[in-house]
Amino acid sequence: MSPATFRALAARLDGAAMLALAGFLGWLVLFGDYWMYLNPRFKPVTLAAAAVLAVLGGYAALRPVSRPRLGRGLCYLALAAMIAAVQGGVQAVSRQVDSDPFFVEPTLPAPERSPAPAGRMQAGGREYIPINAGELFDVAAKGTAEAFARPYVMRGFVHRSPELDARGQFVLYRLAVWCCFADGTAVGFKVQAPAGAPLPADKAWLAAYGRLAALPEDQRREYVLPGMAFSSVAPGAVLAAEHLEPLTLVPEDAYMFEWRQAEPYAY
Amino acid sequence: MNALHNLDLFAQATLSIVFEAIPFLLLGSIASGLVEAYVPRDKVERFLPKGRLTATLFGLALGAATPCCECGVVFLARRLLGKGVPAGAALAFMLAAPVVNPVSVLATLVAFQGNPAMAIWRCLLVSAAALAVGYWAGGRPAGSLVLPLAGREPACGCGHDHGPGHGRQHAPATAPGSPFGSLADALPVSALRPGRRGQAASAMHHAMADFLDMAMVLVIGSMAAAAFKAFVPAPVVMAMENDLALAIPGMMALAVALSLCSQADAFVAASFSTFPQAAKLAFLALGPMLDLKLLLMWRQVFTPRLVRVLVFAPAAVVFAGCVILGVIQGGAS
Repeated sequence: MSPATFRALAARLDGAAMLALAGFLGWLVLFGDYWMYLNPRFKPVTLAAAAVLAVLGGYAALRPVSRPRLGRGLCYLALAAMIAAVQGGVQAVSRQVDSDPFFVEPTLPAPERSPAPAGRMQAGGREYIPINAGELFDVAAKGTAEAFARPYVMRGFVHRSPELDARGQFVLYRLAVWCCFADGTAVGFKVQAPAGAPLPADKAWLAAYGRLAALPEDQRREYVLPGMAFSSVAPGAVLAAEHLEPLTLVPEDAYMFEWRQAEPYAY
Repeated sequence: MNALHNLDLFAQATLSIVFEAIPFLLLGSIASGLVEAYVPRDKVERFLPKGRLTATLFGLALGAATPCCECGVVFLARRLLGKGVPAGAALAFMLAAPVVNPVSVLATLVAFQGNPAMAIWRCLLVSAAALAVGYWAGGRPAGSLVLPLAGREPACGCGHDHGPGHGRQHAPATAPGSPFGSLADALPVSALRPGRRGQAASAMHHAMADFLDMAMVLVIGSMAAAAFKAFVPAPVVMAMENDLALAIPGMMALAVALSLCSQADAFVAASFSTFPQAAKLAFLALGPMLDLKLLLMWRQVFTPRLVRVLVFAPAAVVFAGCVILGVIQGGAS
């Protein structure tokens, strides 16, 4: 390849990179595991950005706007390598060493989310209000007597520790994602296992049915979920479980993207 | 957590920040391109307030009415400066817009369960910092605040290294070495009388050049922020919670390192439930005004002196405000 041809091709690298990024973003929104990166409510914004990026990228590929720069080329390479790592399933390899619930392997096609329950859920002949960990956190923080009298069902991963085991408790938690994965916060709730029932396995995915109970003053301590960059576990209340139900995890359900203030909750 | 998990976390967090910011970066660059191509400098100079304080207040008000992300607003501010917008107004707008707008205020309210105190304090501190920087900059000519583009050898004088083919679409350079370098900056638009297609092409070129300039910085900044999240153990952060004197500067440093979006950082701040309220406020007020990716972007655009002011003035205002609040509240969380 002659130097002139090389320069001409290199000048079109920016446009080609913009086109490739636009294509990947479009694919991610329409067919891929978009939720692994961003809250799905931003899908229209990302799709619109992909369209604009494609137009600008096409234009830049035909009429280069800038001379090629090594720094930018390295950034394109870094982005491509990270996309390949995440989409290629580094998680599948790391999971063989130990498992971390929030690092879910991308799948093709993207998994269907579990449908939100139409109304209240039943267990043991009783009705429970489906609610997610973040919503229950808010309900407990407001601390009204009416809220504490109602029955709830919530899903999450189990976290166990010797301290909690000694009290017959575990934490049920999920990752709250408001904007993107980088600002994700693990939100959890302490669950008191039903009397006489064995504690579930650490990192199991299950639903707990029960009622809120205020924790005694001496147990109202901040609890930090180990290994999480940011976490919030409700300090003043526990879900006194009446029934535990192991569930099959749909990966996207590991994250929470919505919080509502009243029924029907996002679950 | 094994090393591969850290790698997962790093890659996934980097990509999520980049993907989240790209629409705002595009929006900012398109707005910048449109301003460049369609906003005549003489009209801007005629209609905007000229007083140092009134111009700064105008920038603050404009920021309050413009919900936008801090990533997209930097080169829009540069472009506004180039168009004759008073420096105080452009910089106050740049600092305030990501926070003092209805979307960010609402997100802060939701994150703190409807308690308005945090949202109000956050807006007050950010406004104070924006006013301070804006007022300081208002007394200086815009050319002394923005880096000259001479080193980039603009082919057309429009401030960008356009590369091959571009020369066909523009008149020759008019102001080599000028801070903005734009043909439209050097001459009133009415003097140029470009055709509609020429204007549209000019807007597109400037938008793309701005996007490419900042996209590289965004990727590097996102990698730095994600590396902090992936590789700094949580106990290091949590160690600061019981000491106000440690918690406020610590949370300020965390805000700079994490480079979170101004509409999402309230939820992260709320998760530090045992930290003093003043420390959470320090995190919330400083993050949208100063973080790693912004720092890298500013270095591309502004003079070192202005970059120093943009670093130290907001940090000093936030630190002083939060220490006073923390002392009044007695370190309450």
